[in-house]
Amino acid sequence: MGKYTLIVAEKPTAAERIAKALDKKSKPKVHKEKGVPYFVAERDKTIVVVSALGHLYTVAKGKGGRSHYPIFKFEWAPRYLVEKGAQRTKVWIETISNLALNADVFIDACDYDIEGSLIGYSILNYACGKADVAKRMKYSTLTKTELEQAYNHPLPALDFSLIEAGKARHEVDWLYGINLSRALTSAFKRASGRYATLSTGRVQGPALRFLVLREDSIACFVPTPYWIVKAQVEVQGKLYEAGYEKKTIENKAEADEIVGACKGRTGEIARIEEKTFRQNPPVPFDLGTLQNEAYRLFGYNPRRTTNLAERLYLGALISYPRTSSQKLPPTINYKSILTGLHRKSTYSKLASELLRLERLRPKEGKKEDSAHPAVYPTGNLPERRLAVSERKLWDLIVRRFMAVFGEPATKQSVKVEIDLNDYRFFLSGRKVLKEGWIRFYKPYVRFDEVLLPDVEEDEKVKVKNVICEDKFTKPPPRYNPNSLLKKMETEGIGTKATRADIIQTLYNRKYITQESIRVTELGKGVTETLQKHAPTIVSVKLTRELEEKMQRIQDNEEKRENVLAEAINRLKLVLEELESREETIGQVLSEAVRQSKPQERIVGDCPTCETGKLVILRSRKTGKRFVGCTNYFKGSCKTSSPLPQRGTVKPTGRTCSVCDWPTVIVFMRGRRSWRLCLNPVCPRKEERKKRVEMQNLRQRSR
Amino acid sequence: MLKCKICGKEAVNKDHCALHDKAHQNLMEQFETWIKALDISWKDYLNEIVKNPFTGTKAKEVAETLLSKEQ
Repeated sequence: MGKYTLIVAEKPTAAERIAKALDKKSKPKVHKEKGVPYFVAERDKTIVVVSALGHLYTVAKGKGGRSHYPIFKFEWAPRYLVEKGAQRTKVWIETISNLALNADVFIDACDYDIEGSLIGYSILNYACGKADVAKRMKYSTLTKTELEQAYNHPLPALDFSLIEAGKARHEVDWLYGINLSRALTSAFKRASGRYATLSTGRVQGPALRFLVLREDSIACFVPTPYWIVKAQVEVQGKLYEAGYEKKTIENKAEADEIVGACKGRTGEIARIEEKTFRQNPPVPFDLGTLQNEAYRLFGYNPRRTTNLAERLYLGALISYPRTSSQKLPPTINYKSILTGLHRKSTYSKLASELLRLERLRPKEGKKEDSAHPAVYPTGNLPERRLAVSERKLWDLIVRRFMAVFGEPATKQSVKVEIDLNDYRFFLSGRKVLKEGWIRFYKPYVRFDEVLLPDVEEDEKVKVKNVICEDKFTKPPPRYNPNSLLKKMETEGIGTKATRADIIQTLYNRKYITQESIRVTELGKGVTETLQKHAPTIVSVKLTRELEEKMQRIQDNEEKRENVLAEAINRLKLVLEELESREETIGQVLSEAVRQSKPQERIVGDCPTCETGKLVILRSRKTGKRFVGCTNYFKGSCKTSSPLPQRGTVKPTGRTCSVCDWPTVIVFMRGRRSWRLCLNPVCPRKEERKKRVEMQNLRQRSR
Repeated sequence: MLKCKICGKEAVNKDHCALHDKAHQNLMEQFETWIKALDISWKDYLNEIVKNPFTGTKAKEVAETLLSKEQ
């Protein structure tokens, strides 16, 4: 092989797609060096495509002990020298360095965003030494047409403003993360004499604080009573529920008075108000709205949606998902995408309907992203069998794409005012007059039609009953991963690419638990400490300011060095304060760790005695794991339940939908995790047992 | 250092820590709403708060303490 062009992609799958798209026969040769794959494509000249494995280089400290802080000196180093689990990256770097020796042209083809640009730059700079002469391929989908276009017309140089912004983000986050985490860990060790990993970070701190604040308002919540008055009326032989004009009544006597005055009376239709309104199509998906919709419809947490979308992107089925754009420029070629989708029977009818339109004009949102358009399907059909979750997400993206080209829907709302002894009640109805875009997005639109009978003004209605419902105000809802992500987005902390991972870190650190997020004693302790001794670290203001500065670096309006110097100066003050109060902080943290330990083992309330808690225990005799009630030691409850002896068992925080007993989730190597109801005689278990027996019988009889 | 009479954490006034103090404030404020709604006595109000499933844990602890003083 003579001199060739070396293309660096972000992941092996992307490298393979690029090589396939650029090879004349779409059959690039696959080579492996020490297990590292690279692809050789023949075009006008030989092209070698190799991939990274995510980040191959990272920020690392200079000299110093493991628990020493503050640390302000750092360097970029290969990951295998810094991280225990990153040994595989060594051969990767060696292979790329070897391949660089015979290359005369270098192209960075990593994803076009901050992370991708940084991954490509660090390889081309540290492993190849060619960052200054390398070109940049810019694309939003891994389709053949777009990849060829990106290869034929690359950007003449690397995107250094993106790279600088990426470096600044990594360096600032590293400085905050390592110093603050070490400060907390060291304080804990000093007070307790033990070691525990306690971490916080520039975005992690404020995110955890949102949760703690919500937890506090729930804990301090005092409900107040209110009442709802409803009349059950009979219209043309059918029963309907009409609500009193005041939605809530805050005085019991007033509610009783209304009920007394209306009971047994005949009502009269005083007025009928019909309103017709148009509902515009939804806007295209940016990553945030996609995560939101996938959570609402399928219950996928934001991280899962990102991972699934990434897989669909690598399969060339959708465009690059880590985007903040809600725009679909005509250059993506709407017609060819719809023509591609038309080949799939599920979409052919809908796609051909759109293709018949004289002009395709998408409804777009306000958000923009200079690097990528909104998430859209490429028009390619899957080359492999998609997993159920992948299929669901792809279908959602395809239907959303088609819906944005649809006409507005026309809906009608009807409000019937009933006069009942001078008290006004209302019946509400709603229906769709013209579906418009809803036809394309149908499975994912929730619109419950309420059809009212044809009634006329002055018509009499029979009142069957008037009821007064006792209600109480409820505490604010807990955050879930999706609403927390939205909150972070609204507050401007973190980026589209990092928010989901930060939430996961909070779970991993055991600061939060459960889907409906609860903050553990440990999470509260860490936040309380930082709030008291380093309030800037958990303040949204500081984090947002830094985000804005990093955006300014990206826009070439600020220098990375200045942002770093400012971050270090702020950090120094905080660390001095933390160090001077290490003893006190350590005491608070060790108390939090002590309190959080038993909390981790609680699976829920005991359904038998209703006063105890079911906790995960180990038998002193056999060493086996089981669940028992805390009231056992008081001699008042003997409830217990067996647990699987292998794998990890974690409380879900949810109860069984059939018997209302607490449930746990079991993780076992090589098997899909499963939810287990702790009730040994749960009717669902009995049903399953019978089903399995029947299956076995059927198999035997065959 | 003054300690919260309910949980033993550092107190922000002579009786309560920051959270129990906040819960106490909420209890006092919402009593007005309960009087308007039900014309209820202080003791009955505290009883209602203690048994209400929507009452927060800290508010319940404060209500229980106040109730024990009443009895």
